[in-house]
Amino acid sequence: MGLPEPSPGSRSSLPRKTTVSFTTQDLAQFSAASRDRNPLHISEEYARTTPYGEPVVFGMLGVLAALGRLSDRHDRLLQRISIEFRNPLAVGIPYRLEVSEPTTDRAVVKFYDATRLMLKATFTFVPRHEDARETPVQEVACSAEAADLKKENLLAGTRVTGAYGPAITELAEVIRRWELSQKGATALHISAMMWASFVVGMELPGKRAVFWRLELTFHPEDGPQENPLRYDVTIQDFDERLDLLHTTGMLSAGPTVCAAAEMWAFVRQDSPQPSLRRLTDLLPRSEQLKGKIALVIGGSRGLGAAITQALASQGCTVFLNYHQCTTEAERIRTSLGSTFGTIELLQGDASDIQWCRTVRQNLIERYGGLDLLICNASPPIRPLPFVPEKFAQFQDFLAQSVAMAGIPMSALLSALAPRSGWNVFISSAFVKDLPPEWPHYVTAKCAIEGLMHWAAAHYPQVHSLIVRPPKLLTDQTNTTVGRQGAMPVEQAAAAIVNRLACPEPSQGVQILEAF
Amino acid sequence: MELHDRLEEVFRQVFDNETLTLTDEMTATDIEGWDSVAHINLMFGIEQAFGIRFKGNELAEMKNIGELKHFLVDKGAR
Repeated sequence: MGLPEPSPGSRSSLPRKTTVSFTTQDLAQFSAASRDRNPLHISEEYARTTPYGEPVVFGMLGVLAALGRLSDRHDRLLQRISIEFRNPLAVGIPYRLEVSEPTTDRAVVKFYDATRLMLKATFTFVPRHEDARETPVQEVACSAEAADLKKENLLAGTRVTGAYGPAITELAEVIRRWELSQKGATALHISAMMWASFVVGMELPGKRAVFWRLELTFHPEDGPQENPLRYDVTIQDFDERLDLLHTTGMLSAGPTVCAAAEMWAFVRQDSPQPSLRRLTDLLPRSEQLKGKIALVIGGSRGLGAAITQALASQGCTVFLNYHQCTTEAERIRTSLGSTFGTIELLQGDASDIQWCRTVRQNLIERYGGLDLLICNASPPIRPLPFVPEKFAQFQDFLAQSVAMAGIPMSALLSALAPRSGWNVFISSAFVKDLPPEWPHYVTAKCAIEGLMHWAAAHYPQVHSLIVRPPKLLTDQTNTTVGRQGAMPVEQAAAAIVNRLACPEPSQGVQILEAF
Repeated sequence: MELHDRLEEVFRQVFDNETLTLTDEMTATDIEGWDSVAHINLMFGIEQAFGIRFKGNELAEMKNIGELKHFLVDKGAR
């Protein structure tokens, strides 16, 4: 016999379980209401250059969703929220929520992605006075462009002040969307929560922020109230070890402090760009690869970009394939100057069969074939717990990964064969290191390595190289911890190109693991 | 509260595990979920709880919980 379900509004020491997911429209609505226009959340193009690969859900939107899942509290007012943003939330993922409400004055909501804790929000309430009045919130036009403060600008004692007010119509829509009207939070409370998101995402530090922690205390609304709301935020500390910014701030209505906040946010560093100069230092020019025709699948960023530059620096004609990162691809093309080989941009989806057929036909018509095929593309990689409920994501990742290497190979192996070309697959040292939360990534790389062995057996004229680089310094690893011990992409690219320049390569599949 | 119990409480919060029990021999591989994000949370949690500050990657270089406890004592953890 099962336990009876608690009725809505009842409290139990047992956590209540539910789910929540976010859409792109939810992010747009929160952004419009809060004035937080940080591009990490609303620009796919910008998000692709970050470790997250795709837009991240506003942490504070997660907190509002959590608040909306609490029991109604007509006789309480929110006094304090304490938030830990443990891991970034993504669009379209059904998160499991555990809602604990041991008393009417305390509630804890935890977001899980399967077993992984993503967000923890602790809400504290106090009794609401019968004569409590609600302060109307006034709309204020705020900056639409996020500040871009680097760590050298983040000096303790620096203050930022201004006026703040959410967009009223959109605020009402957010309150309706997340069912916030009976949860002990007034429009002013929700505005203060949005203000914290605005301050971190737009002001201190702005664009580079990854919100980590928040302590937000709401003050009784018993003083004189004036609009618009004004804020005053001060940098307390910038922790160089963790790239962690600690700020404190107040939101006031005239002389009355409405909310006091203590905020911590990581400050992301610049996207690492491969350096042609560093490459040419590592890789003196030789004649071995001069005049060769190369195609780099996924060549606009990270290791793919460095391989593109390295091959061009050896006199190759390199076709740089990219799917969406036009700005980055153009930057790599123009980085070459006029001294070396050439780079031609080739936009397209490598997992599109028709696109690959067209590329093959064009290469054969123009050059009679292909000398070097480098398969480097991968879908964005997020940690994925290995549990049954995440298996659909696991399969999607595997299918996409295999398609991004397998379809180009299926179209182009026959173009490599007559020229005794190279079929190169960028795998990873993780196929041996086996990191705990990347089972999908390890499986995909091993599957494609298997395909490389098959290709080597059935296209013996084609040389095969599997590359297993260690953790590299790329957009994907550009986080506080991720950068530690990461190898520069130029070093890995130079080792790969050195191997390809070997005049007498051995038969069978070669594996490059030493850099 | 004894240092061991306070440290255990920090670990329980960080790893979201109310039944986690620390022993001196435990290492990072013995604790489920000790990834890069958890590492930063742990570092921050220990610093806040004990009023100390790690230099660079000091925490990652410790071989087990026993060594971490000795370190905290040597640092005059509050």
